[in-house]
Amino acid sequence: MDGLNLHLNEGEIFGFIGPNGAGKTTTIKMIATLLRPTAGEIRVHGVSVTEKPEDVRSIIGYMPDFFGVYDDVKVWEYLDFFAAAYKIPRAERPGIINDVLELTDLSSKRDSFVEELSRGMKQRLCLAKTLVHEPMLLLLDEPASGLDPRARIEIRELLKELRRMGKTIFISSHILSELADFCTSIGILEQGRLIAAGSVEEIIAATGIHRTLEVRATTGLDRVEQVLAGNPLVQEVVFEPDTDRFHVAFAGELDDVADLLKILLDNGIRVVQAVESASDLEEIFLRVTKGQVS
Amino acid sequence: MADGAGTAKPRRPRRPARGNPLFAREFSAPCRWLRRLRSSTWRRVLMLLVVGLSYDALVGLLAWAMLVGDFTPDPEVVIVLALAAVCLLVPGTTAPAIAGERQRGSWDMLRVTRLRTGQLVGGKLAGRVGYLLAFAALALPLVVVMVAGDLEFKRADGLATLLVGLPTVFGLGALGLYCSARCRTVGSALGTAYAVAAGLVLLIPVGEALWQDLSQNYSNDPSVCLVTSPPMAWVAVASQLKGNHEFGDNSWLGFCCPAFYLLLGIVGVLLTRDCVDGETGARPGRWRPAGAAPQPKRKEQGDHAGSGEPDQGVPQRPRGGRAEPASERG
Repeated sequence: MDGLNLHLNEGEIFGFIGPNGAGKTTTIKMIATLLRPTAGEIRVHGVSVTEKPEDVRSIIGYMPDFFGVYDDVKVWEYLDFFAAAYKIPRAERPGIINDVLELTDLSSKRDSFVEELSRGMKQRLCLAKTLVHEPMLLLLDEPASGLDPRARIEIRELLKELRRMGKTIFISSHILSELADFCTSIGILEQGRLIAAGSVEEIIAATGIHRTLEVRATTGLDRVEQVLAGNPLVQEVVFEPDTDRFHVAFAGELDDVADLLKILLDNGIRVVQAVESASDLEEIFLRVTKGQVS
Repeated sequence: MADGAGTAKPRRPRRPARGNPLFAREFSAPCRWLRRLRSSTWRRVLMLLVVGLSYDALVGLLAWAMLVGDFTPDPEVVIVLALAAVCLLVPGTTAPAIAGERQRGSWDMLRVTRLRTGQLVGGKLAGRVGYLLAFAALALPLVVVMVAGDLEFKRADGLATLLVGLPTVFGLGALGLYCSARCRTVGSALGTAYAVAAGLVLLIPVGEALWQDLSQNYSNDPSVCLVTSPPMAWVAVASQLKGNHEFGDNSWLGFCCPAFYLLLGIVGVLLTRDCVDGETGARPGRWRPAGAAPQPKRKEQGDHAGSGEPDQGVPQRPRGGRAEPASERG
């Protein structure tokens, strides 16, 4: 890692993206107290990761990208073991286990052996394990990797639920569209360096990647180019042949989009639909990273 | 990261639970095979019954051989064989402990719990060695049968067994655990542990015997192997306690064996602990606090390497998930 400097607010969902070998897992492991940085400082909730790793461990929940579960125990026993490892008193454990099982939709599998669970269920079980000690910060390293689409959707829904619960989540993933769906901000890492950070909107603005508006209008299509010609934020207008749609490459913010539509309407162009097909995370990622691997 | 101590929600006050769940898990691991049999309860009971009856049959056969068939094993041979079995079993019991977790991918998840390194190492060692001792306790009926027969156990034999056996279990157990902490896979951990254990228990006595044979000097009693090989040490200690002095003037060296294995155990545990701690990367000596002068880079990578500035002119935004300006850096 080189000069990584990040700050996450409480309740934030931070998506960490980057090519293989960029340092995502290394960063997460350093926050999780598993790797000691050779320089610099990491604080979780004000507690130094290097000075008081044991204190940090009680407030973070770590889910590695590659993990194994104990196959020879039942689901509740697995969670009970980790609850005990987090020093949760015996009397409180059953209630907590029931809560996390319910949250991860594994209540029906409470008495099943772990080895009987599907890959997606094991993933959810690992997430349940991560939650037993009510961590303030969740460190999730590729939580949806290797899952089928259905299991991925289940994990995504679970993460959304955690977001609603106010958890701070630091998540790395290769499935960029899903990150864009629920992350409040993202960071793009390459060769151990953070090359962009902020909300998707901010990065779009910073990188100069335009948003594309798909507009449908019933009348006045022939005047569109003339109306938009003077607008400095409009980069390109492309008409779909034989349809009532056109695409506007637009460099403005959301408020500017509203202004643009108002201009169209004021000039007698009856807009019936305007959909933003914004430059998605994949485009940002490809644009920002150079495809280099350290 | 998730800073803001003043804005944090109050956490439920909780008195931390005591005990080491890892010890309980390791200790009960061998019994769990029975639960994994996907069979009904009565089948499990039946299986237990069959195992128990088989064991009883073995004990009965031995009793019959001793009482009726005039079979009287030499107690010294029995104990030496038992010690050799211990030397064979212990490294194999502890060597997979950490490497197995690592291979399975559960080691990191254990390390981020509130269990301290000492608890991790202690739980692994005590749990693994503990169930070996519990397993050894199952042999008590055999001992009873032997004693009830014609086998005469002398107090010195028992004392020598405890004196040599317990440190051997600890020392070889810790050795196996250290190999486990050092190796990535169970196979390599087992191989390393057995190689070292075989060197101590077997190769040194064989080497010493060969050396005497080659040097045509049969007058010297064994020396080094009395320290490193528990079965031989037991013979030396027992003979010393009984006043036989089996190995002449060198018999006292047998008492060094427990001390050697005790030391091996302590060093093994400390090294294992250090190794587990060392997995976090840099040693404290290499730690450079924030604000200290950076170490010189070995090689510059690209135009931006080491510049500390973001690539491609992408500004770092001062909002949630933001990167902070250099002036704010800790």
